Amino acid sequence: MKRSIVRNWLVRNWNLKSWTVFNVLTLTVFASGLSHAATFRGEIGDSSCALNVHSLSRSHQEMLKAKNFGSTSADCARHCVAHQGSSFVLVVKEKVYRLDNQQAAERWAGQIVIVTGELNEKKDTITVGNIQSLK
Amino acid sequence: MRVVEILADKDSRYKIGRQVSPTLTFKAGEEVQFRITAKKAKTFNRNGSIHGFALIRKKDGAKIPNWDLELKPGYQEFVLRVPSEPGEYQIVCTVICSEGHEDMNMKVIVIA
Repeated sequence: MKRSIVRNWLVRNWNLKSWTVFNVLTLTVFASGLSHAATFRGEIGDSSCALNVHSLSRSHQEMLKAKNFGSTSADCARHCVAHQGSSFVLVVKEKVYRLDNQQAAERWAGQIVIVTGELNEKKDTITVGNIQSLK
Repeated sequence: MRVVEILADKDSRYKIGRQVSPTLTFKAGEEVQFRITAKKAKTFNRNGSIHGFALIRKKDGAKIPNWDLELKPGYQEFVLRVPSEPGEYQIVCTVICSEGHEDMNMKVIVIA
């Protein structure tokens, strides 16, 4: 009895608008599972050095020793981004996160910072809300 | 569709046939199929990529969207659309593959 009442109500009221609302709600729930707000503490580096097998120990050092484009991690990161097709990334221990806002990251190259934003776990990408100094 | 076969070699050079670091010329906006064979040099990325393949605009170093590939060992194919803006570009390696990594590049000319 109750089932037929629900069915009748659905038949009468379930139109295109209902489908749209239902789909939007489903997508919202699905999308919220993929990305969420988070805060990270790490160094702004470049993707080439950060992703390399030697990145956990000595990538910047090796690059700086071998080339003539500066003496700091910031110099190395800026050089790799400007001339070698790299991107600014956030390095948190062994994890490397890509950053959607490259202009904001450039200012903090080579520095330890706090980044707040939305993390897309599937793509390891942060939609940057704010970057601030650790101090 | 134009097909370009490239060797991303263990000496950190892009090669086409017998040409080392060749120059590629494309028409603006055309689609190109790249057939790339990658051979490991000295170092690689933690995800197993051994070379990179990114296109940057020469005048300002701007990266061209969708042209930022990481190459795994062996053969792979990609279809990419050439930028619509004529000018001089460069394909660069984005994986630190050896001491010669920074010289691993190819000139790309885009004509109208």
